[in-house]
Amino acid sequence: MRWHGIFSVALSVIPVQSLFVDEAYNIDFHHALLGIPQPHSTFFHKPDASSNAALLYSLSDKAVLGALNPRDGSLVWRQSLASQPTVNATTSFLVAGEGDGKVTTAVGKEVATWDASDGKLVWKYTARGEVKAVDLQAVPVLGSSTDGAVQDVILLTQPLQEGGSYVVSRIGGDGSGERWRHEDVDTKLDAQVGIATSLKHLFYITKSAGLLSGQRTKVVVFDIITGKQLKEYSPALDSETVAVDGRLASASGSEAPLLITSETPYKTIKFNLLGNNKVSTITLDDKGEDIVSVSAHSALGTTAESHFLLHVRTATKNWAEVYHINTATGDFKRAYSLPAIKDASAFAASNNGKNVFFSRATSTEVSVYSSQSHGHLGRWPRNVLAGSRTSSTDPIYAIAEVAIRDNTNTAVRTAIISPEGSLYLVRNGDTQWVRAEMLAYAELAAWFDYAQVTPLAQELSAEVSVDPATAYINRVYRHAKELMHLPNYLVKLAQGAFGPAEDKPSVREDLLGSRSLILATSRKQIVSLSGISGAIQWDADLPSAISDGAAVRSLAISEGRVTIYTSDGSVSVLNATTGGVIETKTGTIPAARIIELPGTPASTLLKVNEEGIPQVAVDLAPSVPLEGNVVMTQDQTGNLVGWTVGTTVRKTWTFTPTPGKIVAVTTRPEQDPIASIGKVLGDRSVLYKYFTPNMAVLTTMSNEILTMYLIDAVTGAVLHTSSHAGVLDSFPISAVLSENWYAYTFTSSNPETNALSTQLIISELYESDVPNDRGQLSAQTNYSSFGPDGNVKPHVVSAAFTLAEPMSHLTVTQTAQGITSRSLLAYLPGSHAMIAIPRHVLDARRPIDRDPTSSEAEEGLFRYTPELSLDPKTFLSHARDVVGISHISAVPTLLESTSTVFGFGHDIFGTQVAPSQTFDVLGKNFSKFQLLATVVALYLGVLALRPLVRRNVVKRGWL
Amino acid sequence: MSEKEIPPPPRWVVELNSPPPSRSKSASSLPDPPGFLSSKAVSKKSEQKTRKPPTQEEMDTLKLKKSWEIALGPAKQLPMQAIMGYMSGNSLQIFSIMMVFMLFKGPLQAIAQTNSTFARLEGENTRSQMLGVKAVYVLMNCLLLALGIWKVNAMGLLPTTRSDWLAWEYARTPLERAYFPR
Repeated sequence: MRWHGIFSVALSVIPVQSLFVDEAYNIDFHHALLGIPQPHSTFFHKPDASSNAALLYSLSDKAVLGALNPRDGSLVWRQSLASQPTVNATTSFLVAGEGDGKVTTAVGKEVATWDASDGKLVWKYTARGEVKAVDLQAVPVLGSSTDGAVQDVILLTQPLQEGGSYVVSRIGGDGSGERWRHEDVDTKLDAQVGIATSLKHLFYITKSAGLLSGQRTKVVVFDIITGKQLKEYSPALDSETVAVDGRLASASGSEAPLLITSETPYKTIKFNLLGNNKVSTITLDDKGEDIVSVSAHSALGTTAESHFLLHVRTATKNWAEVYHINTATGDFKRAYSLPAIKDASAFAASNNGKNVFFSRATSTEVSVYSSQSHGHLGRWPRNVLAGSRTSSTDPIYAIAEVAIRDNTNTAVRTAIISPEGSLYLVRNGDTQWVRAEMLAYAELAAWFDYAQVTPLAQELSAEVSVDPATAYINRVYRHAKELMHLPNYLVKLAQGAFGPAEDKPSVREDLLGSRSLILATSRKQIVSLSGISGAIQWDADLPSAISDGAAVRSLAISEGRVTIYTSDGSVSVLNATTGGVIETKTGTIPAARIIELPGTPASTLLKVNEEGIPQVAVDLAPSVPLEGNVVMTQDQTGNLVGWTVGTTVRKTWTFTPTPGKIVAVTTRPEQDPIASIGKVLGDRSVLYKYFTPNMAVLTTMSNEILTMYLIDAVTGAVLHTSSHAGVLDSFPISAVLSENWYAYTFTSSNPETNALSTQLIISELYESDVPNDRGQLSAQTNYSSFGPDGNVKPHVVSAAFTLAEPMSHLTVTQTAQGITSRSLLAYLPGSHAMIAIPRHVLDARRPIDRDPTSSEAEEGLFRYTPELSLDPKTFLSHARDVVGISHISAVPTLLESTSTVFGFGHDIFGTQVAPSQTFDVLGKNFSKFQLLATVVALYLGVLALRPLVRRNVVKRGWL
Repeated sequence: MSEKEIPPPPRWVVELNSPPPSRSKSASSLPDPPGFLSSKAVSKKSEQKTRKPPTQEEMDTLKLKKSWEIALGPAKQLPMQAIMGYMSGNSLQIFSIMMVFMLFKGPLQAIAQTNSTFARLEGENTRSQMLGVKAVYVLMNCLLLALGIWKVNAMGLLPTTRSDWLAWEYARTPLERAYFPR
């Protein structure tokens, strides 16, 4: 019947679906993340000399630089220093000048300066040779920026290979490049190196393993202006340094940079005022316990007094000692100590001109001390943020900014990094905001449907299991109980009827079904997010029984439990609603990947080890897999291996691409419902789709040639192959397989013009190229891949589209029944956006070089154009800047029209997509009030007209 | 009311009862004005001769003629309906839907009421002939019905193609299943 045709014609009128203005920011959520701030590159800083308010600048360990508004924690600007956020970018540095409105970063071999107020790049300098930055320090500015003084930086680079030289260079703050450089060829790669600046001098410190003694420290002093080497000395410091951020020197950039060393059990601390040969020794009182760690905190300002604080930690206590330095003689004097308390403390030093303040943050309070005396200037109990999920947690690092008004009123803003990876801002004692930065480390995700655990679902399943009579009585009871909620329900209904069509998350949740997304991070945390609003519901660490080196390999959710498989073979089970640990089982068979198979008595788990050999997970639960199933794994050399699993596991086939190497294997999504097995053409004949759950698409690369194989994973037989030359593997290559089609994207360069072009290829599979024909197997209801039926190959129709920019992480939308047309989801790394391309635009059967015939037009096909425009108006992420998406996941909702889409990797972005418009929901412009008012008005009209009509009827009867 | 109080008859009654005096000879030679009939002429026309009532056979022939007219009536509608069907197009709109509805409702109703339609015209002698007439009537209505079916088919509302039965076709099940690591 033609309904279908009419529907698709209607669709083709709107070639690309777009996002409505009132949907943006309402149906989507976004966590714009930085990653966990590094303590040495996080500070409060005024974006320019004229501004009053400071921003919180941070360079995270994912090499993302950002400026946060301390008022609400919102991102003012953000830059990803590597082109995409990288994991473990620990050697990244951030320094700020004094009021010149810029911040400078060093990551890898690149030094860049950014405008502090808007994050725009000012200049960029790339160090020569194969090197990486290991330290960056600001040169103290003599005079103000208005005098034309520029904020230079000192860069220390380390060679990547043995034989290179360490280079200390001064980089001009005006973007003019290197002012002077000093090369050090003697120091080995395993040495510890660092730099420190004072007002006039630059200190280059190396600590290398000596031949005889443990470690030898060498300090080279340079004139910071000219770069001339002034002197070189070796202080008698042979133990490890205790600067807070892992650098060698403390208090760099101040009048008195220090070298502080100690070693376990930290009884004696040795100091050297840099530039002075003298080494002082101080003995610490251990208060009857073993000292676990010592770290030094000092203020960074050039004008600040030379005071510093040593934070001493034992197993149960935390305290601090404050020292004053005599810069003339190089002597140290212990000024006072702060009380030892049980709570974990974080100390932060800050200065306000000459005055130095030390702030102490614990889980219960924040206090501020002057460096001069031990009396506290302010002390506030920590209050939890209203409506916050977590209680105030132990701080691991703190960064503070102290303001003193009228010499008496002290206020402190403390940025606290908690162990679970959240960034808190505490103003005096009140928590102002929390940023969940641990979400930037999400690696795996699984969806949890609350319907699994609702009491109703459980009751219904209970009713199924008992005999009909009991079930009936139970049901009557249940309905009777539900009647008690009737008054409430009526009130709610009345409110809903007269209120506007709301778009609150709770309303959407009712409509779409409440789901939450369980994420596993590389920091071994499990976090649960609401699927609609993106709010964090709970977070939990992996149970301590899981060994330290283990990584999360797989997440599975069933019956309200999250099952976490780790690489050491263990399994932990958490409650999906609360995050509480239910059980932990340590396994003996390590697992790189997990496969679940039907088996007896329950489904069988198969662990695939690093070599790609599957093994039944008998260490977790005894189970025998059903015979005749095939599993597909990738071995160490990259070949694909098929295994027949039964009571034994046997190798069935091996797939080796010639030439090349398999870079990715794509299979159909676990839930991929197909509503119709054929495609209805304009003349109402049917083109039958070719699909099987056993298909897999292999992406192989060899020498710039991309070959895609479509295989039957049961036998390893190749069903279809396509090849593309000149493909660059430095650009994303991604594939998706769903229903009866697969799509892939790659970027290739034209060998003649060197022009880059990104292409998206779509291939549709049909049982036959003739309509109304089901191919060779025609009326068969089943088939075996091993028999002669297995030779049947699909009829493949392909089309290629060129894109303006590379695209990655192709995924497809999912709906409950698969009736709604699908959309292709992808991330645009260049535009920092997520897009949905309607599937009917990517139809491989679009007529080429001619207009569609009337029957094709009725089918919804329109003329093929090779270029596929990605209109920013159609971006799912609209105006949001979504950085570093590396996984996209789509699940059905309760509405057939809508699919929930979620992307993670660095930022977290979630939204809802309706590829065929929301045909099963009343639009927002539907006014219940208007409808009711019309009904009431009509009724009143009838009442008013009733006497009139009655009179007329009577009159007509008489006359 | 008393008899005395009977008012004199109105003037127009008096004038009607006493027609104007006959015209003079000279006047009578003048022709009447167009459209005016003098009483003489009227009286001449009013002399009607009484017609002989028709015989039974004549009546039967007449009725048969009339019933043939009725029987062939639907056929006369056929070209017009066909043109209307063609003009209204094959899309699903209120006009074409109404038209298709009428195309079905009319003939079906007519067929159901065949006997009552011809009841008035049926006689003892024409019964056998009427059977043929009725058969033609039903046939003609069937023609209209066929037109309706043609129209419905043109609109794509008849399940005559493969796609209409697609929902009852099932995908082939593979005997082996392959599983992939997640």
